[in-house]
Amino acid sequence: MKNLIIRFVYFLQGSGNYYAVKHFVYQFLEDNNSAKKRYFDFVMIFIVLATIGIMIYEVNHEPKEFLTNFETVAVCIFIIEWLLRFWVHSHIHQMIIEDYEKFRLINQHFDIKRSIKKVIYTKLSYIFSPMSIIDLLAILPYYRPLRILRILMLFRLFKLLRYSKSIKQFRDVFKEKRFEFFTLSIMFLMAIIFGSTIMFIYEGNGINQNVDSFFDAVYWSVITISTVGFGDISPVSTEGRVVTIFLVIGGMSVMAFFTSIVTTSLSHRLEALKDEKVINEANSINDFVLICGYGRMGKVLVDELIKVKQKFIVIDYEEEAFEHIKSQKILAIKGDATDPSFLLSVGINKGASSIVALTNNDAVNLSIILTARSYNKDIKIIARANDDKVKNKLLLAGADEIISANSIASVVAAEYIGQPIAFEAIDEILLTSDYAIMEEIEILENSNFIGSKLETIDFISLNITLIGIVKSNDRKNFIFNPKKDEYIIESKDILIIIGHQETISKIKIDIRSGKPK
Amino acid sequence: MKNKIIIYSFSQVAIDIAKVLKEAGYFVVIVEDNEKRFIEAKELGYQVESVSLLDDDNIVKLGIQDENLVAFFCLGDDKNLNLFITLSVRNLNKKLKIISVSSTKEGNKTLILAGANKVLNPYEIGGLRIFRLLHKPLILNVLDDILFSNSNIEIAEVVIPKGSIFDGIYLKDLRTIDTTDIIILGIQDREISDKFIFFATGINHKIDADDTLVI
Repeated sequence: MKNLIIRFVYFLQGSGNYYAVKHFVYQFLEDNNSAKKRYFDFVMIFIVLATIGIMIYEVNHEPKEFLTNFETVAVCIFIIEWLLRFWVHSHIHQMIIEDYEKFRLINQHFDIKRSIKKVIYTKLSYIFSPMSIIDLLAILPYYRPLRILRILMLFRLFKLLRYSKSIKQFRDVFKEKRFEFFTLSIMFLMAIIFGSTIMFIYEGNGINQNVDSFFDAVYWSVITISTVGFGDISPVSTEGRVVTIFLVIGGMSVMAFFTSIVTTSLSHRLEALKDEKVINEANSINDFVLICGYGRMGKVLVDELIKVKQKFIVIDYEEEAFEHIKSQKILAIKGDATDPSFLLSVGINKGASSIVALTNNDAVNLSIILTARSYNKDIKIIARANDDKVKNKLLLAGADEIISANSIASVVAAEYIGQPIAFEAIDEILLTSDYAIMEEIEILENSNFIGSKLETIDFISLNITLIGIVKSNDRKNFIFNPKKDEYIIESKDILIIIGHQETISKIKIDIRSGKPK
Repeated sequence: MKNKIIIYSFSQVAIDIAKVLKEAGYFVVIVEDNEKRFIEAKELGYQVESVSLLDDDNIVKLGIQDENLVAFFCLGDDKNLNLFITLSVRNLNKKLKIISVSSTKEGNKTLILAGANKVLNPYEIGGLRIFRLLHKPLILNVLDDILFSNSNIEIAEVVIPKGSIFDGIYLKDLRTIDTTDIIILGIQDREISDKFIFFATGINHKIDADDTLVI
């Protein structure tokens, strides 16, 4: 039996399909970054609300067959969901293997009972976790003979905690502020005991006809302290009225205290929720640019990136930096870009293809470069140098390109003085206009043009100017204006061309489809 | 020889610009009334004048109407002063190339209105360069090679003289003329404003004398 179990757990360990299925289920049920979970949650919210709707409908209507069937299907789904959650909660085969290998390592007899106990304990801890209990209580009311269980239908509402993040945040507020709530509850409890005892002593002995038992006194205290005041029980003695005054004042303070705790905590949570949303989006996209520092240069960069539909995320230390982008659909998050854990959370080692350090502090930029490089060797790093003297240090830290606004402006100025028309022309090409654009086209490995002369590509009738070719093996090796009747096209050559947007799209199609002139 | 350049203010961006222009062989005159910056510029070997450019007489004395003056750079930190000086200089010399500096797009417009030919916005230039580095790095490399480095490839402007073989022909006809080792990028036509027409987009354009070919 023991050997059979061991063989079975090793079989599971080696089974790719088992892991794939389990991971697939996990993505639906527990993976907050998965789109599948969002769809699943949405469906489950619908089912929960529908079953509660049915319950309300059936209070004063005859049960309808299709509604009953719907309830049956819903409960089946709840049961399957609970079982699947029970399954993906932990990897029991791994626990057994770990124990087994540990025993083998120290050459001792493997005690499978201990492992099984551990497994049972882990699974029980799941069964008795608050959310699992809510799930189970939501299933129970299906057993109609127990009418009292119908009240448990309301537990299905608590099930919504699982599916909606905003409700989760509300739950977290209670968790986070449990000390404050505990203090508040003690105060509340003391006031009720104090109020109801006095009420019962002075009015419980037949003076007040409405106060027959101590429970009536407690009920009156709660209704009074919560400032609801139904008026079904009211004090008749002077002592009772004095207590009422204190209870009402105390009640108002308790309510004010409670409201302030919840609102301040929720407003903080909302900020966290927004940041979490950006982080989740960052983790779901690929090939994006991380822009650290949203100043004047950052704004220009963002405007251009939007034009070419390049994905990006803006990070800034100060909330004020985002003031004017709130109305736009820009992914922006407040945070310290020099903090490795923050950079990791926004995907420095996942979806980010480039990072741009644009703060006005060179030390901060240096720190961003070092952090980014240490977590991602391949990421492209571009940094701003505020002081020309630090350029070398930034390169040493791992930046690929350094931008110094003043020195570029000076080169541009000098070029403008020398050849203004040529300069404007080049500037025009570089800015993405629909007029004339400069583009690079790579000759793919399977292209029909490989081995042919350059003249086989139809530049002339499309009015495209070929500036030159960059060789794949040496990106610095630029062949300017190659002779079209001599140059033989090679795989991965990159053609640099100027043309109209329309003609460029046409030549791209021609080259990719391998259609010669 | 026409090689004098006047730079107003020795600001951070001016330090870089003056250095590049000096290296390119221009005779740079700095106008600076701040004592610290005045000394700094002097120490770097520039000719420095300490006068107020709010007075037109001082601007004239600097030689703003001189024949050998190539351009005037207005690079002060105060945007209102820049506007005032740009306007004064334009008023004194209609043909002079005036380059000014601004840190906002709105500032660009008002300086152009005041008479500047070109407004440099270091943040905009920096931001655009980063964008190009991200979006079209290869092309930026090639263009940098052509524009800013000392490689054998150069970009040049050629004004078409009267009676030239290019005078009166269409851009598309240039294809038949042997242009080995030369690429014609386009043309700036004096007849239709100063708009630049790319070879790739304006094939039916007729070339006239005084047009500038960019090759």
